[in-house]
Amino acid sequence: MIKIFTETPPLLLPRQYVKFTGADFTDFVREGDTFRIERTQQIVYEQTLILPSSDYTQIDLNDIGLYPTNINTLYEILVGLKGGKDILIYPQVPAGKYFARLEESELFPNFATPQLRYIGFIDAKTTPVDEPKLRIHTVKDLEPIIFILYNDGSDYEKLVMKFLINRCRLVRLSAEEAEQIEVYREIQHYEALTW
Amino acid sequence: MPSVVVTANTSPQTAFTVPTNKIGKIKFLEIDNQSASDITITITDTFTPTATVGNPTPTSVTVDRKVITVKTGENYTEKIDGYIEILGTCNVVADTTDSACKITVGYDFE
Repeated sequence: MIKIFTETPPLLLPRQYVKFTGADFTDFVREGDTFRIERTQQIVYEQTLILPSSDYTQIDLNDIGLYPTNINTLYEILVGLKGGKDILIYPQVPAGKYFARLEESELFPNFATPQLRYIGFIDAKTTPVDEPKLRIHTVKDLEPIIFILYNDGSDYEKLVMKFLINRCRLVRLSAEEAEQIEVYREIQHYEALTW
Repeated sequence: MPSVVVTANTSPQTAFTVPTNKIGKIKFLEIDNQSASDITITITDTFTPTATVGNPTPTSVTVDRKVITVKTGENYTEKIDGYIEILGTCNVVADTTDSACKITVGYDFE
């Protein structure tokens, strides 16, 4: 659902398959459901923020249109960042729950505490705009994915977030059809990654 | 690299406005002061920040990015290599209005 790669990952193509695992995603997308990609369309979408020093804001990806409104659509989103060299992004899913944290109970991201500020963040070096390495999958009615954005610098900073949205039209496979599929992309629910 | 020339004025003179999805970089600055007195030039950056927890209803702010005093008769030039970032609108403000002082700003968007 949210993943950071070491290289820009390839986009899904028509006639490929996706399988949702780990937990139910929504009422329409249950654990184990498998779909064929029927069609794709690529859309570039940019959002810009200017943040004061030592201040933060949050963005719900649903509020800026990064969730499909159709139950048969999957958004595969590559996120690249430009500028904002001192802006740290902490993904939360669902709201209030940091996606990336260590197992030690006290080691969770907290930008208000210098010792915890540099845990589980994403910045422009992690996923540069020309080589995006952060990938997110969304479907209609998925739980909120929130970006907390904190300016760790000493001046105002401008961050451009470039979203390359691969809009995928899904065709559901029957259980019998899904059993025949050996090669598919596994889309893991966040609960499978936050054990 | 685009550039623009403005004359010294106590009212802000717009050099360029950065597109929303770009970051402006001042690459080059030339101030040719042929007026009868020294002139102080301020490069400012005007923009409206995003609403934040600390400031949920932001208004436009102006930040000074560089201040230079050029003596009468001098021609000041500086290749800046992009270390002055402009987030919104770049204005040039002088402490005296005088058309004999010309300011050239070279810039780029990234």
